[in-house]
Amino acid sequence: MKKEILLVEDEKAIQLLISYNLEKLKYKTIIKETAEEGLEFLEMNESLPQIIITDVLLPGMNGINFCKLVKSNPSMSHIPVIILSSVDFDFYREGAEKAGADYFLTKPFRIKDFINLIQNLLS
Amino acid sequence: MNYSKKNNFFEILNNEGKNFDMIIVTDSGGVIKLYNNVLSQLCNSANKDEILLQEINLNQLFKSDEQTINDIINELHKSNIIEGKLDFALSYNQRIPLDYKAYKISEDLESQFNFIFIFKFSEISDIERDPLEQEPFLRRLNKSDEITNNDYSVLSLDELERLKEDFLSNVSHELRTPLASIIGFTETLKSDPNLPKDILLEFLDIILNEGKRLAATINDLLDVSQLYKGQLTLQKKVIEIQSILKGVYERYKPLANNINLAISLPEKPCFILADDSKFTQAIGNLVSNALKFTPEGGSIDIILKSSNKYFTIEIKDTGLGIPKNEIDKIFDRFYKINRPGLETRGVGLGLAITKKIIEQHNFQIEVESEENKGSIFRIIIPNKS
Repeated sequence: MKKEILLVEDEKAIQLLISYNLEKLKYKTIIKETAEEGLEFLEMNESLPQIIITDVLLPGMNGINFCKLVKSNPSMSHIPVIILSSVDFDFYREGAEKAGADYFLTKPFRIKDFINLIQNLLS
Repeated sequence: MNYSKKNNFFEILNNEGKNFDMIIVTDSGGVIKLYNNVLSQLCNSANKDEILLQEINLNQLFKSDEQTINDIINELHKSNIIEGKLDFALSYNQRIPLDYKAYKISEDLESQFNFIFIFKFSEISDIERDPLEQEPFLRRLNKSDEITNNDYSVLSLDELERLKEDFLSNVSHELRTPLASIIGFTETLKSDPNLPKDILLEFLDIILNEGKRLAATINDLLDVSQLYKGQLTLQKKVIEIQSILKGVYERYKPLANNINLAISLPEKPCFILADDSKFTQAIGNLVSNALKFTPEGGSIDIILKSSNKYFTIEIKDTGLGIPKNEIDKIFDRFYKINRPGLETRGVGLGLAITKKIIEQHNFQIEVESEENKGSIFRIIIPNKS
């Protein structure tokens, strides 16, 4: 069975960029455009994804609070969360760290670094 | 006691760190002079300047069971710091409890900035308090050099301007996101030279479009900065409105996928004195916005009407419309209507730029809108022919 990665991102181009590169590695990407939809997916699905990747600036709830909710739920807290931020202020990094995020990647990011990170997390 | 304004002000902010929700600076009588956007949100103020323009006093917004606001102000004149509880009076019978700390930062009765009130919501969980909301205000207040060399009364307008410009995150997002696509897709193409042609073309299209998006954001930022500093000089000449509208129509027609973009023009040429490029930009912004917010199957009409007194240009769409309570804010810089489920694209400058351009021509712009039915943006130009 393909390993699943949940991507919460509202930008279509970034959705395609990430899903294309993950598909090449034979990983399945589940795309949700808002944190609320991401939470609904996590709550409704029996099998949880191996990794969660989330943007910060989303319509509705932001990615940091989404991460906080994931990490505060004992059944999901083990899932590594990568925050993909288009804003690189210390404040955001601190917020992500406090929310329990495992990695903080700033856009633009190198695809090579991104893939290495995913492979390390899944190995 | 002789207060060093700057030290006191920054010491307070440094001591408080990020551990507060709302901050208000008042003059010696309790009239609000500076505030962060939490207060605007609580007041549901239609305009970011509303609280300042109306010279609202703390006692109009806050109530206390223990002492009156005037008592608190009087006590502050005597003490350096006091703390307690206040309620924000949301409505006649609805109150939001807050813990406050108030500091005296100046004894100069002529100063606009005498007291700082720092508020924390008393009953709100950590998760509900959005960390992203607090940062811009803090960042601006911590700007060091330019502030320390100036007196607050001189500084205030600049500082106020910065307080209103709650946009850095937004701009960063609009610059970095297309860059991420451009760099990411280029890297992907480079790593796989044998990509099927259709995928290759799709990726190249994205790179091109994201490059254009980046250029548009940069242009908007430069334009808005010039327009608001009054540095834009219009190169006016006699132009025919029909030819401008046709040009905009031709430009946007290919982008109107499954949207009926139509144009209706009077036969007799309508001439006005305007800056060709800026006027075209303003009309283009309106059409581009209409395309952004009109779902597939909808229609957009570009209409020109002519009378003896006026030329009227209408950009009429059957799009999402503007919520009633937001219609007054849509021409504000960096204002974006939050539409859950839709991409948060754009810096929120298009309409602000359009309005400035139109007003600089001494023309008028107005909007009519109904949510889920559509909008009409109307430009009214005196007919001087």
